[in-house]
Amino acid sequence: MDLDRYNYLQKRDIKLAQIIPDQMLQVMEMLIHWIFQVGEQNNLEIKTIELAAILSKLYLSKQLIDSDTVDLIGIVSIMIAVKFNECQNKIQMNIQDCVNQCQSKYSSKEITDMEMSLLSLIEYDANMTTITDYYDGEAVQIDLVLFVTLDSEFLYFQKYELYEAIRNFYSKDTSNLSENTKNIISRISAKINQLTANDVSNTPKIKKKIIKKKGLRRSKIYSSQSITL
Amino acid sequence: MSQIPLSKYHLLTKIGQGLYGDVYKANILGTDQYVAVKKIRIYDVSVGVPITALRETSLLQRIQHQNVVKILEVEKIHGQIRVVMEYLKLDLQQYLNENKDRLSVELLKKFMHDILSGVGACHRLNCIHRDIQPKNILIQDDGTLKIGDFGSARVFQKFPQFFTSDVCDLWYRAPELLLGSNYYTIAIDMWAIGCVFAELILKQPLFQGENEIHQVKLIIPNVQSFQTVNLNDPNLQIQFNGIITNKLQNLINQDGLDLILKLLKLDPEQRISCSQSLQHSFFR
Repeated sequence: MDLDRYNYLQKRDIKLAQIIPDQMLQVMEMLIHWIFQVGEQNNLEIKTIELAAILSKLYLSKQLIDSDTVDLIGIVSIMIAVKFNECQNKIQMNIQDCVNQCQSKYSSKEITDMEMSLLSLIEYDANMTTITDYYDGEAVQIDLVLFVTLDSEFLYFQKYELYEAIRNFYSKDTSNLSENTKNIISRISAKINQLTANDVSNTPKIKKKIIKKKGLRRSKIYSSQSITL
Repeated sequence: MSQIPLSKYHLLTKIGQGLYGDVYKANILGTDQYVAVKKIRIYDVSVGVPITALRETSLLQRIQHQNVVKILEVEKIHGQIRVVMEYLKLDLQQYLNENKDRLSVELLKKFMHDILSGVGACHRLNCIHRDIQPKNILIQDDGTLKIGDFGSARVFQKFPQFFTSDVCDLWYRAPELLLGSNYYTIAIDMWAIGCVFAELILKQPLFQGENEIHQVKLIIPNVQSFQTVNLNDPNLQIQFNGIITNKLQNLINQDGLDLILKLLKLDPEQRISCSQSLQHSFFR
């Protein structure tokens, strides 16, 4: 990768500066999971899903919000990510789609206000670096990218750190990896093992399913219906 | 006492209509410094902030380059978003219309160098401009060219992605777009730059098609069927080089012609990049 491009990606590789309170983490994971689901149903690009997740996390880290209205942030994050990254001939998303997706829980005014609020938080710059931006022609390990995007244990790492770990996740030779990368790799493995073990004792399978990419389970936020984007 | 926000800018006259709203010449209050203010008009409440506006503010704020127009600030005032940009009163299209004389080789080199540097800066940051044409190239008072209007631009990743083929002004549209490709690359900008280069020499657009089919026929005259066109067919390229050479050979030196032919390769894979172009012997 040329230096210019790498520097630029790093500049826009946002590190969450504020800590998200513990009680919000579970809500956040549910929200990100729901974003995945909407993304899968509508065949969104992986970058779009990552971007929507970044926007939601940023917002949650900066504003104190009520967990009842967290889906408002989720849907507006998806709309902004779709506008920024999706081919408009393939998919479009407008305010009414957001209202419908949330089953009219929010008015179009609330959606529009949230869009303004989120855009001013990011200073009208939606061009934030995602993990897949670092890929340079090699095959993208979508399952792992989604896994670290979802799991709050990896919330405070920068995308380039996660990229290095994912890229080397299956490699046999770890001698020339940095300590940090090795640490993240072992955390990912531990997390996966833990989830696989828990699975036997009948706990929710959501995360494991993402790893296996069997398709995602229905959201807990509300029963999902395919949205007409 | 309630606060009434005051804009830092005083709007003077409307100077144009951008992709997403009117553009005004304005001055910074208390100074005689001019800026251009684009009011983002929410045309359609159902869409929210227009896609073109979101992409322009997202991409332009980060590309800091002397040959790319600068966003100074995004101002939110009275519930409205205003994009404040540097003010440049002239674009390359107006310049070509007003200036009937032929451009000197020195000026051609300077202009092409600026264009390639500006577009090259976008490409390095994973951004395809998708609307390179003289109207979107602005001229600063000292003669420096700056690439503007990023409403059609988008970011790309380093694997094939589906994009809309309906981009670029018709006269500057690359053959793969005309044939309906959805998996194009930054090479479409290179074709458009080639067309602009030829236009600087000819003082008129290179291929002025009336519609898409006519545009293809100007580029590939004896096209039989659009489905069977093979852009990397060497014979097609030889034929095409003949057309370009006929039009330009007495107007530009050999190096210049060679660079144009490398920019106007029918096969996008073979088209020269910005960084390669800047190394070309034409600039020596």
